[in-house]
Amino acid sequence: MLNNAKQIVDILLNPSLLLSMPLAQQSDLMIVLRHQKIIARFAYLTKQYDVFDKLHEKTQRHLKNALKIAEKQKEQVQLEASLISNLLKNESKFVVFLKGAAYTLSDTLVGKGRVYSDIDILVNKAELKSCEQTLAFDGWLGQEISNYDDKYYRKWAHEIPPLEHCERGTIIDVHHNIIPIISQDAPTVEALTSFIQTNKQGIQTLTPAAQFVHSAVHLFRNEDYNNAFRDISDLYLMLLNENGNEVNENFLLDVQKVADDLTFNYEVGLAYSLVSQIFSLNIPKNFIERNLNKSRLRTAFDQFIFKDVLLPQHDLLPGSHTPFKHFLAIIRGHFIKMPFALLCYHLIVKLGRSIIEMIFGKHIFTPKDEMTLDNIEQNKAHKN
Amino acid sequence: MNQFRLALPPFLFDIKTDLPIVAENAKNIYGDCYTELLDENDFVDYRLTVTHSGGIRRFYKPQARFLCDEREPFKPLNANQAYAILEWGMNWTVAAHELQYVIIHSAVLAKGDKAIIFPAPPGSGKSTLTAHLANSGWRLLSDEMALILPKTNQVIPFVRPVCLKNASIGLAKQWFPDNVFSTIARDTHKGDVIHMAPSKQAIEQNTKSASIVGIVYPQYNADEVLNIYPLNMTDTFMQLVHNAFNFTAIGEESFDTVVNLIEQTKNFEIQYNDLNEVDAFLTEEIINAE
Repeated sequence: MLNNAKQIVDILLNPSLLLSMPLAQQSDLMIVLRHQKIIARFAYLTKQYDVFDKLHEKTQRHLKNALKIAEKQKEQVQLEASLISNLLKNESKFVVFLKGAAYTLSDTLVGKGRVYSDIDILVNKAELKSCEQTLAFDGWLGQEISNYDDKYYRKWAHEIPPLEHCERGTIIDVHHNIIPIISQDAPTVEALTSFIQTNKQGIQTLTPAAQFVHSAVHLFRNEDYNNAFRDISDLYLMLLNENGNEVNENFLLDVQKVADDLTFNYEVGLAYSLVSQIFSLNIPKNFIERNLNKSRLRTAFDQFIFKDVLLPQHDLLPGSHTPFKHFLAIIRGHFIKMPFALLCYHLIVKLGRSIIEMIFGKHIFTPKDEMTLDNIEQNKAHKN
Repeated sequence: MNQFRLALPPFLFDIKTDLPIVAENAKNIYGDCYTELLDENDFVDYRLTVTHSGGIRRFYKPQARFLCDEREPFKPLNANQAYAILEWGMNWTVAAHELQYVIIHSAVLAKGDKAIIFPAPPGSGKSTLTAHLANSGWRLLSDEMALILPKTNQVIPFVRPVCLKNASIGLAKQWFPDNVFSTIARDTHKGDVIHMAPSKQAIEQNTKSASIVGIVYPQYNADEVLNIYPLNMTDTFMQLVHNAFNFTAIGEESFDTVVNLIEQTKNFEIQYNDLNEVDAFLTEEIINAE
């Protein structure tokens, strides 16, 4: 049995701790890391720290499986990125890869072993329609959704419904802003374009500092905290200097510029304070404090819930589940995103559904067609 | 919740369930590979759960859910199919996670250290053929998946029960009255389904790999005693890739493995209705050929 969530942090900071861990604990660790979607990241760290070769073959096998998937995904993302960039270069003023895909494409520490289920891209809102059409001609098709959902996406959200490539099965999320329009402080196109970088192959991402700010905004304006530990570990890794043990102070200055320009100071401040708490990273106090520009009560409340919500949660980690704080984090996320009336409506629908699930069982809302091994084969064959 | 473990080399599964038919069947089918004594020092590869859907669903049309750790890859089935969902769930777990082997959806049977793999879609009669051969002097390595070491022709056993459907259930019980069977899962997407336990001898040799010498695509055909069609390399390649669970995920390594296999093995498609003829053909033309 593992000890607690803190043990996962310790082992990420120092993978050689794995060598003195009983084998049964290592097996639990593999399961928790896979669940947290950081097993491939951890596998890279064990190689970097020269721990991998000394591990038991069973632990190695699970890490190798994770590395294979990460390597495959890296190849796939590089291919898709060049195809999509070429396809849209005449349609949109910019085609910027965001989040996970951007980490991989920038080939930085945070991109090593980072896996994700879809590729996020940002295009110019004025040219969104023509981008969609060009993508559709190339085989990127959306699933059918209701008119209401479609309207919701376009009017209030910052992205259009996901598109899937009909041959390769890759899924992309096309964004026209980095945060939902409905939250009113979404940045303008002009503000965003000054933080775009283009690599040698002509592929665009946000600058590393803007990637950090985007990641922080995404994490602290969310209402889904299932991958929160991976997300906070992204932020931690982005802050490290080349030696990988201390904070990169020049990077803090770059981040400050982006945070000031886009007025996302509070999210950056929260990111700094939680990274320093969770990963014991020494970030100068003035950087933390100057960004935490909301009331003391608000700051204290956010820190109170996130110091636990951002840690890994799993049945194999005793005491890691914090359902009340989790619930608060979800409410908070909705509250930030939506006007009050809409929030009430949304929560009533959600609550109603969970009560019905409690009475009638978990799958009352699940559509009837069965997903079986045979179907998976067919899907796979289809994607090949 | 009941908790037990299945030591099915090369993997160790830990299973929790609150549906009694799951543990009863697993105990029955896996014999010595089943244990309720949980050794705290074991390296568990996957933690699986088979549970009901909760709420009043427990009493009205009860369902069985399968979870691998906290992931739920399939929608739930009727509770009488709970053991089948565990078997299919274990297949899914291995196919979705294990990339150290090229995994081909096929039965694997061996004589001595020479193995034949039988990749085939559902409905081809593959499992009935497997059941017959496994009870006629062949060693069962798997009914569902061939775990092949990359860039070799070595196949690793993953000894599991044979999954029989519909009419085959009666036949198998009649042919092999001494064998151990699971309870019947009625009305699944494959029809009625039963699992037949592997033999003691297959389990005893469940860590002994074999060399693949033949690839045979079986197709049951009531009008043909035995018709044999040699396959060219291109056809075999396409069919193998089509049946490989993780071909694209592994990439180049799996391509090399499949090409190497095809070059070194005999490849046939057969249509048959006489299992003994098939047995004789496989033994003479493939196993004893060299």
